Amino acid sequence: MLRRFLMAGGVLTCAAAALVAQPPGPPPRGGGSGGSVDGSIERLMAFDANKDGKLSKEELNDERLTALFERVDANKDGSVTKEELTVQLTKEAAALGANRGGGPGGPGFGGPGFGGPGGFVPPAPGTILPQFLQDELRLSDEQKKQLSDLQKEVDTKLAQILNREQRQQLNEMGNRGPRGPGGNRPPEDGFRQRRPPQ
Amino acid sequence: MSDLFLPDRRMFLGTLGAALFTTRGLFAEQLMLPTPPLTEGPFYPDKMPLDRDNDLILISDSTTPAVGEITHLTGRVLNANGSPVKDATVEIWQCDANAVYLHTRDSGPKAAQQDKHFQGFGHFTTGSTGEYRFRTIKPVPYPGRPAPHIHFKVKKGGRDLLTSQFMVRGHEGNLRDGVFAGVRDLVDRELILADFVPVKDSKIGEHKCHFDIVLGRTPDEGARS
Repeated sequence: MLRRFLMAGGVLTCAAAALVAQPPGPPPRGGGSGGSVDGSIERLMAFDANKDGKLSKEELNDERLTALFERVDANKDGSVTKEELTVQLTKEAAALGANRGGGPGGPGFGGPGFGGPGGFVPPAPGTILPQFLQDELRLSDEQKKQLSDLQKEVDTKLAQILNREQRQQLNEMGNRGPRGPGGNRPPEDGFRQRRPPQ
Repeated sequence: MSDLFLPDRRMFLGTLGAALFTTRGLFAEQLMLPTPPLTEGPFYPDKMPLDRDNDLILISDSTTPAVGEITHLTGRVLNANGSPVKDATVEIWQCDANAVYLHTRDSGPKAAQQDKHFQGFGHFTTGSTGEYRFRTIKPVPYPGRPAPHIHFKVKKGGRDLLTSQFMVRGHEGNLRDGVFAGVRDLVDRELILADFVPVKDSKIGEHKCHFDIVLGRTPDEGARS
């Protein structure tokens, strides 16, 4: 009886251990994760043909990577060390994370989310049905028109509920960073601003 | 391999594979990094325009050019070993200067702001050098996509080999863009960025842009190399 109990306990422990011993899953999400920086460094160091721990311009002769090479080569000696790579890539990964507002604010707002693989952009606050869902549901033209009218109503009413500072705050959350140069200003705001037909 | 290794065989082979990959330089020249695929997006034209040539600034016999900063876009389609790909069709599409795509779901509701003189879509088939060229406008941001971008597809022999997009190096919108951020690997991000360089002495503010596309698999091979 005791032996059976011990065996059962042993089996359970083994099962639990097996669960814990799973191979690691994909690297944690979130901007600037250490995982992706290490992965990038590995991919580049694979070009270190003579294994001297540095990448020369001849070794990394892909012209698509010239801009990266020059950014990373801090001391401008024509070669890139693993340390220089780590410093620069970590900095750039963090910058992307910060700009997109890591933390509960989450990724940037602004219009329907197209989001690439793993790059989902949540729709702007107040969006009833984001574009990609409308596509998924295959709304008819009539439905789209009704939705569009409803959206206009919601936008108007929401604007009336929020005060000026709140609307501004919403704007700022959706548009971190300096505005682009004049000319073609993106028509989208953090707060859903509909551009009337001209 | 003895029975002793069986439970860890998958991990063992995985490690072996990784070791082979990183020592590849000993046996063969390091392959070029392939251009990463990205989402097609919702606006690949649903009704192909009559004029689909590689000049997106002038439609057919029209003499009125599209609005926007004229850009001469060139590049090569290459295999991972660096050899040019012949007879590859490169297609590009992008929104016009007023952020309207040539797709009924976009140009329909936004007909009033659409630039009717922008072709919106073009294609070019490579020769033996693998080179392609287009004349188009410098891309602009689109609602929900702060990073200006040009979509492209590469096809050969009736097969889609790659769908992706490229963005403007240094544009501040990139850092706020969901698709750009979705490219986890930092090196991959470099591979989908292009420089738009002003053409010296151009009286009309033209730009040039060079963007090479590296395919992950040789079009003529079925298996991965």
